[in-house]
Formats: sequence, C-alpha cells, structure tokens
Amino acid sequence: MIAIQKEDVDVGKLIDAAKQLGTGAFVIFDGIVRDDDIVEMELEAYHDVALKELKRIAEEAKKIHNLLSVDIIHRIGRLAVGENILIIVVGAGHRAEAFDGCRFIIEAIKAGVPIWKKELRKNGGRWVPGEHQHGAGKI
Amino acid sequence: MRRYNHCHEEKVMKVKVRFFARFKELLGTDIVVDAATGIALNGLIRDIAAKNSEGYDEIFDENGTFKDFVILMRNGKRIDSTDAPQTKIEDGDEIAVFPPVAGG
Amino acid sequence: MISKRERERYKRQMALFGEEGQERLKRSHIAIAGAGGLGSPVAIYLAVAGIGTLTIVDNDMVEVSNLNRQILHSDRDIGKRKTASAEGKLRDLNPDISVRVIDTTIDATNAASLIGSADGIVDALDNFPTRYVLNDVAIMKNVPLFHGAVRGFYGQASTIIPYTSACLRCIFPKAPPKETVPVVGATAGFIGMVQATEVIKFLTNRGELLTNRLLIWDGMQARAEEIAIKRNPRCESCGDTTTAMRKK
Repeated sequence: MIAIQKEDVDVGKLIDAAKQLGTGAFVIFDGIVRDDDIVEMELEAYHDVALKELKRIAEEAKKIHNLLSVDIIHRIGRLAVGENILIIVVGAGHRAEAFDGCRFIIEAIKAGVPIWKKELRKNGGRWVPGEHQHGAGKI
Repeated sequence: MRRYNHCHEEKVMKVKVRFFARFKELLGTDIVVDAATGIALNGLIRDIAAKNSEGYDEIFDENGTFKDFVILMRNGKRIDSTDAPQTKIEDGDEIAVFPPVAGG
Repeated sequence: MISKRERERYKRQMALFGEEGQERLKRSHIAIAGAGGLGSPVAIYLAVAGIGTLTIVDNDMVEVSNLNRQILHSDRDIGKRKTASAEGKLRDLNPDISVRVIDTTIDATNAASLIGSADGIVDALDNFPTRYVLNDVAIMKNVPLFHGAVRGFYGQASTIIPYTSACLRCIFPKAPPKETVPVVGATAGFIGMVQATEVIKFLTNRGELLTNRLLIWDGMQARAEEIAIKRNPRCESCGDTTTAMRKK
C-alpha cells in the first residue's frame, strides 16, 4: 500500500497483509510528531507528484534491495503530538536487506518528496525547513 | 479563447499555478491565469507574486531571479531555476513553486 | 540517464541513494583546488564515485618528496606537471567522467573564472591566503566550499555553505603563519575522505553536513572532536554589511 492520506493506519494489519512466501524479516519505520514544545503539526502535500514519487521510491528500493514488500503511508492534515506521520513497512527475505531497504526509503523521501510540515505553537507556527536548502532550486 | 488580429491568431493560454507551504500562505494556490503566448516561467510567476510583496520577497531576489532554494515544477517535472527564463509556458500547463521539502 | 555499464559500476552506492542520487553526481561539476596531499585522495574518490566533471587546478611539478602522500603521482611522474599526472590517473580510474586540468596559480584575479560554474569547490590547498580567495569566490558564486587542512598527524575539515553557515573567515579571521608542515600521507587521506564524503552528501542531498562545525582529527590519539562555530554577522567576507554593500 502506497498512500498519502489523512487517516492513520494499523501497522500490525499492514505487516500481516504483507507476509508472503519467503519473508524472513520486516523492518518498520514509524515517524511520529515529536513533543518539541509544539501543540500540533500541519502537513501539506503536492499530492499527485508526491504519490508518484513514493511509488517510484518503493519500486527502486524493491529492485536494489531485493525486497518482497513495501508499504508507505504518509499522513497529511492536522496531527497531534505523538501521532504517526510516516509509516514504512519493508518485508524481505533477510534482515540486512530489510534494514537497508527501509533506510534507503526514508532517506529518499526526506531528500525529494514534495510534502511540507508546519509546527504549530501557542503563539504561532513555523514551517519546518527542508534539510538541504542551499541550491535546492538547481537540479 | 481565440482572438483574430489581422494576419495572425493570438492565443491566450490557461495556466494553473500552485504554491505550497509558506509560499501558499502568502500567495494562495490553484491560481488559474490567462497567460500571453511566449511568456516564460519566471515572468509568469513574477507577475503573480507581485500581488504580495512579502510573497515576492520570499521567492525572488533583488534582481528578480528565483532565490536559489526555490523549487520549480512544470507538469510534475522539475525545472532548474536557472532555466526558468528560457522555459516557455504552454496552454494547460500546471506550474508548481515551493520551498525545500520536509516530509517524513 | 544512467547507462547499463554505469549502473553496474555504481551498483553498491546506488543502493544508498538510488538512480536519482547517481544522476545528481553525474550532472555535477566539482572544482578541486590542488592536486597534492589533500587533492589526490579527494580527486580519486570523487572520480570513482562518478562526479560528472572534475576540474583540477595546480601550479606545481611532481617531486620525489611529494610521494609520501600525493598518491595521484608516482616515481615515473617525477618532473611532470601535477595536472598532467592527475589527468592521466583520474581518466584511468573512471573513463566515464570528464576531467579538466588547469596548470596555474590561483589568485584573486583568476579564481572566479577558474571555478567557473562548478557546483562546489574543494579546498585542497596548502596555504591560507589562497584559501581566503577561494572562500570569497564561493560566497560570490554562492556555492559550497569544502575546507580541509592537515599537519603531521592532525587535520581539520568543515563545510561552508555561503550565507547559511560560518564561512572560512568566520572560522579563521586571521591566517595562521605560513610554514612547510610535516605530513603523514594517511592524515591527508583521512581529511580528504571527510571532504569527499561531504561533497557526495551535498550533491545527493543526504545526511547532515559539517556546517557550523570544525572537525578536528587527532591521528596520534585516534580521536575526532568538533568545535561549534557560528556565522559572524560582521565577517569581512560574508557579513551582513558586506552583503548589503554587494546588493547596492
């Protein structure tokens, strides 16, 4: 399942659905809203392009790291502290591929998927700056 | 919409511009404009951003060039901001302008 | 576009940053100031990583006393121009990239045109006055400067992103006294690797850069330390008044 949506998902159900012949390991990434003195977080996506990019990343990860399954759910909208933002479930034959594949996916998402976060505080909000700002406009 | 002007037809193009994150807060989004044929990407965005000086300053520097962290897309494909002046807009284009991504 | 041969060549690193990352490396142009102790390992590793274009600038001739550390050169290159020696070796290491060499001394009058439209500058120099020149060019062109320096078993490195992080002059307002330093090749290798890694991270948009941090390597103790640095708003090179003056 590759999706960008408001609703949360049940990670356990994702794992169960992803089990298949040959699966030896699952590695899960669950990015949550950290308690950084904020009240809520607001997420916004360039939906069509972001979804296409998540699918592309999943396919590439599968190919390079020999994965059996990839699920990526990126939530959008208003999220409270502690809520799930991004869930990645990676299934593979062995743990090495599962770990590497999951890492590959999260780093690729952070590097280039058009989604933005705004931290909402009591006295205003702030857009979280992208990790690599400088020269981001150049390809 | 077509207008006939003496010997040649002048087409007006419909273009949709989408801003995200901070840019959207200042300039709005899903802006459908009638653009003149031959307009380049940077000119199109400058005209729209001119409506809000804070929004303009977030995106353009004092020479009217895109700031180096501004990301541009045309129909879902990245356009290098240095190529913006040479990128001609076409009818039905969807242009996206946004700051560095912060997903995950 | 990554060819089938390139895919096979870069397979192990594409497992980290994918085709998109490799394409970014391929599209990039990095200028390396110096083909000596630091320049050799940096150039070698950037070449094998598949940086599309490397421009190497050096003004020197290969001598036997270079050979304990300048691993781009060997005995049969003694007497040759370092740029010529470097060009040949790098092309052998990776025929798929473009290697340009310029045999000249970098100074304030030619630095900007030597750097050209490079996406980043590697400081593999052996003196601070020229480092400051590179720093100014990096700021003017708004491209990163990957600083490195060594002495004996010690080395330092930092990554400078103009107007975002501290620049070289924010870190070192005054140049240290000029001297011929002792160097063990491995130290230059270590710092060169830090610089090469920074370049690759910057170009592929991965990881955390060495910005606003000065990495200090003590090879004798095998310890790495970090000094936090801040941009100086009144810096001679990148300070607010300087930029304000430039805007006018």
